[in-house]
Amino acid sequence: MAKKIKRRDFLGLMGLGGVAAATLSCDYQPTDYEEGFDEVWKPWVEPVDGEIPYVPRFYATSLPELGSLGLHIKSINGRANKTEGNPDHPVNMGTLSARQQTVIQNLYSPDRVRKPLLDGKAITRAKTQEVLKEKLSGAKGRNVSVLAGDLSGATQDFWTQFVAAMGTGKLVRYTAFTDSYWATASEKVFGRAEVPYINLAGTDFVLSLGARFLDSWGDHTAHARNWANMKKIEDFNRGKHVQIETRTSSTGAMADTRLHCKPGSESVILLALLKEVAAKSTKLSAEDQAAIAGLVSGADMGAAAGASGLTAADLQKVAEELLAAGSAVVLPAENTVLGDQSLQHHAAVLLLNKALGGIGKHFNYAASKPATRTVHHGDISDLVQDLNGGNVDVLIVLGNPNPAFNTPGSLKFAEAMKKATFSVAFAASNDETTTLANLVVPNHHGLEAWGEVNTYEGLNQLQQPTMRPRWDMAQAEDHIIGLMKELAPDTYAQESFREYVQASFTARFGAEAADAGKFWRDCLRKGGIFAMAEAGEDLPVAANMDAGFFGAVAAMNVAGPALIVMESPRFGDGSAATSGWMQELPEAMTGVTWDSFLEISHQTAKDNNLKYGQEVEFTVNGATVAMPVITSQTMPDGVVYMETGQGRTVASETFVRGANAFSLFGGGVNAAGVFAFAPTKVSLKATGNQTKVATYHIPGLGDQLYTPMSDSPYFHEEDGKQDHRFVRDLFQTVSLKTLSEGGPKYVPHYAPYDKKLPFVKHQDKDFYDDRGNDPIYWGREEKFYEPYKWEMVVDLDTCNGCGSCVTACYAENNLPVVGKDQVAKGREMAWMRIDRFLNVKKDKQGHQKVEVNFMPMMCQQCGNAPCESVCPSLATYHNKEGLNAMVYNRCVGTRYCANNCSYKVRRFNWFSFEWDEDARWYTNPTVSVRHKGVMEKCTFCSQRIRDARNKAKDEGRLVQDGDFQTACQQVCPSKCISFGNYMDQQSEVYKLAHDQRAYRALDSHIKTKPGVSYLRRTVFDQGHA
Amino acid sequence: MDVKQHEINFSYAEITKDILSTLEKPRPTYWLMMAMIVGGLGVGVASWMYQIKEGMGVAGLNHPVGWGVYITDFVFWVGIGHAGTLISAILFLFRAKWRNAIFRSAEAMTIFAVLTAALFPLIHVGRVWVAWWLIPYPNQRELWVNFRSPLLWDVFAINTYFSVSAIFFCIGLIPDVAAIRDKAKGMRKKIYTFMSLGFDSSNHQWRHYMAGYGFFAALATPLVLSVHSVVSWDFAVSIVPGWHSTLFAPYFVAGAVFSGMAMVITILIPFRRIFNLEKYLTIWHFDMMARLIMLTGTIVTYSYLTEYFIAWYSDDVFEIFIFHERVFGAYQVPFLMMFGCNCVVPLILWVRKLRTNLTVLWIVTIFINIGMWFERFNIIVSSLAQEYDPFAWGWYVPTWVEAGVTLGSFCWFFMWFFLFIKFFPSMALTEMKEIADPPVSGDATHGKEAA
Repeated sequence: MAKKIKRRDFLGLMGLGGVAAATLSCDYQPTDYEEGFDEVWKPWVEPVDGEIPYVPRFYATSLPELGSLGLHIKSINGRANKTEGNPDHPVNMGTLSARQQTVIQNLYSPDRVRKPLLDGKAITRAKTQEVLKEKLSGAKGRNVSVLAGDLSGATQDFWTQFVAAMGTGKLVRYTAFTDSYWATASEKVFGRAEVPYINLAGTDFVLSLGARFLDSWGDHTAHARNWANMKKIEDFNRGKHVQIETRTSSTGAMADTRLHCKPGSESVILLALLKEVAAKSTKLSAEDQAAIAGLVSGADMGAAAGASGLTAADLQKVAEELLAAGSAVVLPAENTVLGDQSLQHHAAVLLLNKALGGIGKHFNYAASKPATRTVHHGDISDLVQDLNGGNVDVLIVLGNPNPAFNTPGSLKFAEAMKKATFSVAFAASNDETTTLANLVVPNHHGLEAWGEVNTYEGLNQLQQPTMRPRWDMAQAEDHIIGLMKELAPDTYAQESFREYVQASFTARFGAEAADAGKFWRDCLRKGGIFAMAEAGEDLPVAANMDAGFFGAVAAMNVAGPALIVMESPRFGDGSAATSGWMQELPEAMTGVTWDSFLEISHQTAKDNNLKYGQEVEFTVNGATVAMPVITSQTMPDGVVYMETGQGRTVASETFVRGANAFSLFGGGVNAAGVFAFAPTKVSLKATGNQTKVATYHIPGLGDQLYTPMSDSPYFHEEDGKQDHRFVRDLFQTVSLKTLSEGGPKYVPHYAPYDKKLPFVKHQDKDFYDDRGNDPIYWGREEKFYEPYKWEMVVDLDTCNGCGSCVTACYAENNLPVVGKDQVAKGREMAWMRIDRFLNVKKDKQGHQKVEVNFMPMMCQQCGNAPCESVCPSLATYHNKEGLNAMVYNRCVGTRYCANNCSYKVRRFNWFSFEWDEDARWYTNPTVSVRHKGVMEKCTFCSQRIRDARNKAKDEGRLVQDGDFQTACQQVCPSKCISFGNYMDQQSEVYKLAHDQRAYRALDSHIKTKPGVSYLRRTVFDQGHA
Repeated sequence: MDVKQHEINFSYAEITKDILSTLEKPRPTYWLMMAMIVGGLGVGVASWMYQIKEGMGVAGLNHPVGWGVYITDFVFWVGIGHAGTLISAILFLFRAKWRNAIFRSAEAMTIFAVLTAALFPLIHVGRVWVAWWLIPYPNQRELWVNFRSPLLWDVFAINTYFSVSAIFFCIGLIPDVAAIRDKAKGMRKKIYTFMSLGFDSSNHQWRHYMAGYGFFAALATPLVLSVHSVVSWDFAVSIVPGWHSTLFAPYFVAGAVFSGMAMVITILIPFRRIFNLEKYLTIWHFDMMARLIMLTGTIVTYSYLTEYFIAWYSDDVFEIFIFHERVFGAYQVPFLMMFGCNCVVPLILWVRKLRTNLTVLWIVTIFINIGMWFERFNIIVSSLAQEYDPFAWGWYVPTWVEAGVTLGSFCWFFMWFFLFIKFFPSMALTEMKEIADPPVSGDATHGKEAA
């Protein structure tokens, strides 16, 4: 594998990219594979007269592996540079989760396949073509199977045509996490094998039985947005979120009520709720009501309470709240913890939503995904059988579905794959599966390729190249078209895959367009056709379920420590484990970076004689894994939590870490047609090794913080034994009742630049005058904050700690990934971090209650900044626009500013952190890469401010809301970050900073006059438990 | 007083010979020790070079704790540098006769300590190659330093202190250098001639010399108080809980004198033995110095207690927390080292019998040196480790690089001191002669005055 891009290659590609963009013709030259790659594609979003160097352009695209998600790829000088969300896309609306942003790191991954390999040896392209031709023609008419990721639309059609033309093989699609259980459940419940589009818009009550819908489950960016809208306060009231789960997740942390149930008891709870709600529901027809009553006759609230460890009163209250809500939504538990109950569980969720009137509105079948477009795990099971039977002549692995890593260990895919007569991998990156293939052909990364991603009805997303491929290579589909010309000339009418996609897409959607070419370009520019139905119809319950359908559902009753496995929001199925950003992003609850971990409660640790960081091993389904235990205060007793994604073995050395959770899965497909893990008893055995776990904070210390709240029972009552060492009102909450009574009184509402608001009475003089009236220099007319003072507002009510902003900041501001050793030493370079504060209390019954609060912490751009006055070289100073500016070139590196920073947001370059040859491609050219000895920190994306300011100046106006966003604000799925000009009284940020809930962190203590306001997290006066 | 005040048991004629004997050709032991010192210095230089090449990350510093051993060393050495000027200037003005025997070496120690301290701001900055930006100089870019920054005040304070101390030291040397000049040959003679500024011991010159010396003593006196006050403001001016305290200036000055006197004793006791100078450096001198230690040690202890009182009295959660954590938290060991060595161990000195036992005294001063180093470590590190945001707390553990640089700094200091011993009289010939019997015939008691 070539290690580096040669300088000459780089210049050549740059030149080609430039020429390509400048000429902007849409002509497509077929690849002359023999002589070299000189395909010239010119994707574009908006027409420009000429390419201007360093002026970014945005390409709308989408990726099969990301599903229903629109991307805008920022491209600079013909190179893809940053992942952003497509604001026009109806699902993510411009936002992205942390993991979704890593596609750019994948594109420039050092693991990319650069040369064709035959049995591990590099071969020429001519030879590749020869081998492919020979093998495929030899197998023609027999079993040529294709194993791909989540293909859809024209791409799916293309490969279906291919396997049909070749013989008896099948197109098998595989992703470790799929939503096809909805299709099987919907077929049972409504007789429609479709995956409904789950839409939380307009809800006022969300009950989740464990689905982490804010950070990893389903279309979580959309869910987070709608959930945040639900939490908007109107008339001192807002929607409510109840989470019943087995492990405190970051989604559960944000719930108004979080109830811990025993692993495996979710379905029982669900049935009990269904029985109660259906019986009292006014939204069901009599027939449906009777049908449901018949199905759930065996359920019982008391028994469910007993099995789950909750109280019947709690469950009863949830049921009442569901019934009382205007438009409640119930979300299921995650498939991985359901085992064999997946089908019944999801069917019950559909029925419960039906009883709540949510079918059509929240479970939209008018914008559903047909079962044919989702991945069924049965397919790969069948493929493995075929392989084991020696029936597969040629197996083509397309893209990087990586089943050798992320199929259940018991399925033994890797062994099966070796039994294919010949296997080919068209792969962008090396992974566990490609190394098993006889022939590895470099393929375009999704951002270099054409395609179509067609998930929900009405959501037809196009995938277009956002830059020229990194190396001379062709897209797999173009290889196939070339081959099929000789093997089966009638298969494809087009000369290239791009033409194929265009023809297919235009034929399906643009038949009525007056100008087909314009239609195609418009769609490319927009990212596809986004015309999802807003709402569907309510569907009647079909008679597909017999009376005993729910009969088999019982609590799993795991005796002893029960292992639950869930999808990692950071690594997913393991494809993002090779991303430095993901490895360095702390897990939301435990703060662990770079390692696999097993999260257990302190009590469980005590029972098993384990300590934090101690490595344990255990065996499940014949697979033994070892990893450190993390003791956590948020974890319920008796539950052991493990995440998927780590444990990659074929990747850059840095990313080969931890243990693979998929290896623990049993190989069978459940009734819902998916692989699922069931909570299992594990015996944890210490190996004797101790792992130094790298976290952003000191575990067990420093993450506790009592949150004083005015007039709230949380603050005044409860136990009298608060540890006052930790009482510091950095994070504040307020009850809705207090808001209705005129706002919090505990900490004085203090707005620094508004002279109309008096200070608290005992402070008759503010010694720390703001600079609003000062000239920026003596003797100059210019004054501070005219006309801009940039401020930010963060809503703590809707921040769910997902870390998307943190990753966006890494991408935008060229923050180095420092590695585990350095994180363990406390030298992570994140300009923005998510402070997680625990509030451990005992309620009146003596039960321990842990509140979890997330607080994004970035430079507060203090008006009276402690860091500025102590810098001896004036490398940091207060600029005219209220920013605490940082001049890297002037920094001598005394670190005094960081010492004096009360928020600890300054980051020092302890080394010149390495940017390897590949990583340099995605550094932002408008932000300098810092070297050793220099202090750095957040400056509210000053490069974006500058661009927006210049643009506004050219247009002879001031910057207004909406002109630009900071990187963190842009991606935040719940839109909890607002940013703008405080001096503009019409701006959102000005209004929010004067909200009743607004406070400035630590300002009442140390008068730093931060430019960031936080909106207090709200709580209901009467909560659960 | 039981200890004899100042028994002059040396004759005028012996002084020059005895004291200048230190300048004789070094013995093998000297070379051996010098080799060890230069070796240690090499370790320090190598560590620093490694740090410059790799980045500050080779030190144990991290995000909450941006200052550690280097700043501890810096404050420690500035503190050590306090005793010299105190002895030579303040005690001169107070006409404390016991200073005559010790002030020269104490003053030399001051200069070398400041010379050592001045290295640390360079060692601890991230980009030492641009450290000159901390000096205000006119430039076409109109870039200026930040006069509000205590670090800049440090630059001025240290430079002023170093230059004034060095000049004062050279002036004190003039009559002695003149005496050596008359005996030296070759290159040495030229250097001594230059340094003696043509001093020929005429009455006229003596009159001006004594007046000049007095003025310099008066000029140096406020610096004794200012330097460490300014250094303390590095901390006091910040808003870090545990640093932000108006007590710091007097507290640091007292601590500096405390540690400085301890260091003087630590050095003089072996020095006296090696060069057989028991006649000149008597128990009485050490008793006097020990008393000064007792005084400053008491002030230091009082300051510690005041800090705790104020933390409690302030009712500030952050302040209370920091002081609670100092005693009971992760940095308990440094705290106990500090409190034990600076407050408990020196109590021994209150027993006269023990403080006049030089072995005991020497061991106590070693403890004080250690304790004062830990005092600075404690203030700097434990405050930074746990500030306002509990999520951002972090622990700091020094690395071998910091240990190497610290070792190097001690060697650097002793290297200068060893060179000094061989190049200049370690006691002021003239001032010793002032208190000895002049070589006149007749009345043997003439001129003998009790100090």
